[in-house]
Parts: sequence; C-alpha cells; structure tokens
Amino acid sequence: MSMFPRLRVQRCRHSGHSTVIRACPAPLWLVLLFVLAGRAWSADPELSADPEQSGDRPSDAEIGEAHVYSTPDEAIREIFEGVAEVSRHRVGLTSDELARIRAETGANAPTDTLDVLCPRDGTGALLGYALVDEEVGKYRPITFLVGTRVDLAVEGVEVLVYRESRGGEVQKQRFLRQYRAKSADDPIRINKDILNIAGATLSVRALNLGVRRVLVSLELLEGRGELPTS
Amino acid sequence: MVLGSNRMTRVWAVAGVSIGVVAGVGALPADAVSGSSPVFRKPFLEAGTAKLGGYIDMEFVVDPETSTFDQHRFVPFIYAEVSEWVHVASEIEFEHGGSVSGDGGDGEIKLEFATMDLTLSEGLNFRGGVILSPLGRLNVHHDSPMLDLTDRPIVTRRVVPTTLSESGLGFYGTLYPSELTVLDYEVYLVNGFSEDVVSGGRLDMRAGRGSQSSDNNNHRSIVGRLGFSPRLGLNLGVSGHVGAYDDQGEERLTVVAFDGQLAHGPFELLGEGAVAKATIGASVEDPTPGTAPTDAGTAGFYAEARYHLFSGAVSRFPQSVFTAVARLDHVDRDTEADGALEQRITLGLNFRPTEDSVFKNDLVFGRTKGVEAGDWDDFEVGYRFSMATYF
Repeated sequence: MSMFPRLRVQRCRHSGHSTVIRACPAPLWLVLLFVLAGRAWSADPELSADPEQSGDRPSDAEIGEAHVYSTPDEAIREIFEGVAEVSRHRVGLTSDELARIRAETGANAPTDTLDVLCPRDGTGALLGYALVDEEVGKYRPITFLVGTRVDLAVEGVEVLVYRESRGGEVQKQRFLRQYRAKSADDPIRINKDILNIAGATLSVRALNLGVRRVLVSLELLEGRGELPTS
Repeated sequence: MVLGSNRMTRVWAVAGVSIGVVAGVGALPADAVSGSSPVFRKPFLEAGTAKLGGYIDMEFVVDPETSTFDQHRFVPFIYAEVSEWVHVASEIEFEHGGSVSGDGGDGEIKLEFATMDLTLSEGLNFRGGVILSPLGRLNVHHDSPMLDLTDRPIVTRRVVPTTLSESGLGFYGTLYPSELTVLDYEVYLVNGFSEDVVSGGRLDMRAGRGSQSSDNNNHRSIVGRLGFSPRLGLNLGVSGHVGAYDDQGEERLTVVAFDGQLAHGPFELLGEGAVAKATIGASVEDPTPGTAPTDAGTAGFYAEARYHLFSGAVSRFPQSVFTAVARLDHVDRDTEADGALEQRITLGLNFRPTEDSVFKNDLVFGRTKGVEAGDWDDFEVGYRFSMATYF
C-alpha cells in the first residue's frame, strides 16, 4: 500500500467544475459515504431534477436560441378547419380545482386564471376550445397550444415557441399528431401511449405533462359550466 | 450438450434471485430522483468545446460448463464542437478490462470510432475517420445501455461483425420529405474487408475486418444505408457493403442487410436480416484438386419483441420501466452447405430506473446443427445478468 495519499478529481456533471479530493482513512470515507447517501435519500425529487433550482446553470450553448414557430391565432387556424373568428373567455380556477390538477398531473398549474380560446366557423358554430400553456423542458419553458373538440378530445397540438438547443423535434407534427383524440382519461405517458424521441425525452415529458394539464383543466371547467357550449 | 438437472436448477435459481433483487430494489420508497438524459445527448461533462461521457457494462454469464463475471465494456466518448460547422466525435473501447502490451491481459483497447464532420446542412454532412459502418441498424446503435438483452443478436456477430469500424470518407444526412416522414442516408468509401474473411472455404466475417491504416488491395469498398421512416414509430432500412477483399483485388464480397422497427404504445417489434456472399478464386484459396472454387456465403436474421410495463409504477424511480423481451435468432454460417446452423431464443426481463441505466436478466436457449448433420443438437440453456449505464 502506498504511503502517500492518492488524489482523485471529481467533476460536477453539469458545470464541469473540478474538485480535488485527498484520500483519507477508510472509516472517514465510510462516514462521508453515509452522509452523501443520506442527502441523496432525503433530496426533493423536483429540485434534484431541475438544474435551474439546484444551482447548476446551463451554458448559453446548452440553452440555445428561442424559435418562434407560430402565434396562437395561426396555431388555431392550423388545427381547426374553417375558423372565422376566435373569442376569448377568461376563467379562474378554484383552490379545489388547482389541487385536483396537482393530484391528476403530479404538477402545479402555473396560474389560477385561464384564457380559453373558442374558435368558431363562419356560421358562428363553436368548433372547440384551445389553451396556451407552458412547461419547462430541460432548462426553459416550451410554449404550446392544445386545441380540443367540443367533447374535449384533442384535435391538435402546436408548439408556439421552443427555447432550447436540443429536442426541437417535438415541434414537428410527426410527433405531435400522437396527441390527437387523447382525453383526460388517457395516460399520455412515454412507454404507454406516447412514443418517445431519442434525444428529446425531457421535451416529450414536458409536453405530455402540459397536454394532460390542459385536458384536466378543461374538464374541470366544463364540469362547472364555465365553457361555452354553442 | 444438455444441462444437467442440478445445473438447470442453479440457473433458474440464480435467475429468480436476480429478478427478485431487481424488483426489490425497484420497490424502495420514493424520495430521490436523478434527472434522466436522452441517449443522443450524452455525454454529461463539458469543458470548453469538448464533452466527455460514455457507457459501462458488467455481465454475469452462466453457460452449461462455465460461469463468470465479465467486465465487458468501458467506453469513454469524447465529442467536440470545434466550430458551428466542424465536429469531432470518438469512442475508445476498453473490452474485458482492456489490455496493455505485455500485461498478459485478455482484453483489448481500440478506437471504436473517431470522426471529423463538416456540416453543410442537416441534409449534407461530410465525414472522415474511423467510421461505424452503417451496415444494418445495430452496428451503429449498439451501446449496451440501449439494448434490452445482454447478448447481441447472432446475425450481428456472424454476418455483420459488430462492432464494424472502418477507415474512410463519405457523406451522411437527414431529409424531411414531408411533415411526417424522415429519410436518412449514410454512404462511405472505406478500406473494406481483408482476405482473412475467407477461411477453409467459409466466411469468417469477424476475422476479415480490415485495417484502419492500410488497404490490402488498393480497391476501396463502399458501404451505405438508406433509412426511411414513414411515421414516428416505424423505421425501415436497407444497407450494403460491396468491394474487393483479396490482396489482388479480384474477388468480391457483398453484404446486404435489412432492418426494421415498429413501436406502438408500450409494444415494440424490431429485427434485422443480413446476407453475405463472397466469390472465391484461386488467388484466395486453392481448390481441392479436381474441383472448381466455390463461392462462400452466410446469412441470418433476428426478430425481437419488447413490451414495456409498470412504467413509473416504482415510486422511488418515477421514470422507471420494466421491459419484457423475447428474441429469436437464426444464422446459417455456410449457405453453400447443408447444416452449419445456429438458433437461439432469448427471454428477458429488464428494469430501467431511468432511461440511461438498465439491469437485465436473460434466459438463453441455444442450439446448433453441424455441417451435413441430420438433426439439431439439443437446446443448451444459459443465463445472463448484466447492468449497463451511460455516464
């Protein structure tokens, strides 16, 4: 056994910063291991998964540039055929409804006020509903619009703004058309009813969560008669 | 040879205990989660323009007469974005513990790939270096953490000798003919296979992998793959490798491969088939007196079904999933002769706490049929436990 303590270099996975650790007697290593294990055991999963909150700042290259693909109005006209006008209905969510959204999606709603967009055709007939929502992918929010039929099944999903350097494949209809006809009763999860895109897993998960949240929200609003029906 | 009943019992017992351990670990309560990263967004460590990552696997292999641990692969990746248009990528593979000259080890260290790319557009990239030959899909997508069974398919060892890396130059790109479809291509000129690909009138594809530093016949081979995805979840590919392999450059080796993958919800079906044919003239092997030289060939396929279950059901690992896998392998090692067949059925159940890490349990039922043999040998049963992760 060497008389000299060995040096090891440990690198942070996110920042790449190096820390030199000097070898120390085995019992102390064991204590350190137990302490670290204890910290990991008690870590908040949400915080651990979020590099912004855990203090590991992404580089500019990792974040990338924002790509604006369409406006809400353009997205609605892409999803629904024959849109002549779009009306807006602002509706508040109650604390019970916010709790229900949390329970059914596993995440908090970002706001307690929703702007429900209602596209209508030239005769004034209601075509469905649409909501704009945001959910964080890896570092930054993805802004998207979910359009549903009057029966609250998804008619289409469009990504409005994508702000990260990788994973942008989720904005293609090749991926987004999977959400068509989904309802709040569907799992909307990878390995269940949504196919993943290699290299874009976090963006796929973000959209899954966002679409599920929109569907649950609309269902709650419909339940208390807050959605226009004609 | 058939496993004795005691050994069979031990194999099943080890398999059962291992599955139990995996399930037990997975059932721990939730309170710590690490973020999961997608396969193509490795590696994690970044310094300047360079990034470092890789993968590791470890196997416990039980066969009828042997059982052993095998630290099979440790593969660091180094990637660098030299500029917006120039990228360098590499994998250095340490197999079976690696080997340094003179240490008596039985492993190896090799440059699995090392490429410099010039990106002109997403649809047109120029690449040079040691290239992962696009011959079938698995040769390129072969990382242990991506695969759901421990052993690679037999066809990807006997017919497409994975991992096949060749020194060369060429182009690759991805095109989007419509909003729903994707077309990708790779085509390279490479040094190609060597004369060692023919031995005793039969093909030995692994032995014939060519040199990264010299072309034995000054005739380049061409290798390429065309992939088409008509929709998300359906991928089809055809690939080929054609060129002279003997020292005189007179004899030709042709390999053609087809691959496909279908995913629907939690179900996946994938497979690959490949055929290799070589002309054999007197420059390669002298025929038996009184007979003419014959061609040599080998062919095979695999089909694999996967079903993902209990997705997110383990509260400690919200991104976890179990996958049940079944695969059928069939290879004809000498298409010019009767027999020389290998078949294998593999049943597996693996657990991924996150997408990047996997613990695999496989039961392997294999049998062979000798040249000119009338009957198949009995099935042999093996067991594999392995673990693999990206880092």
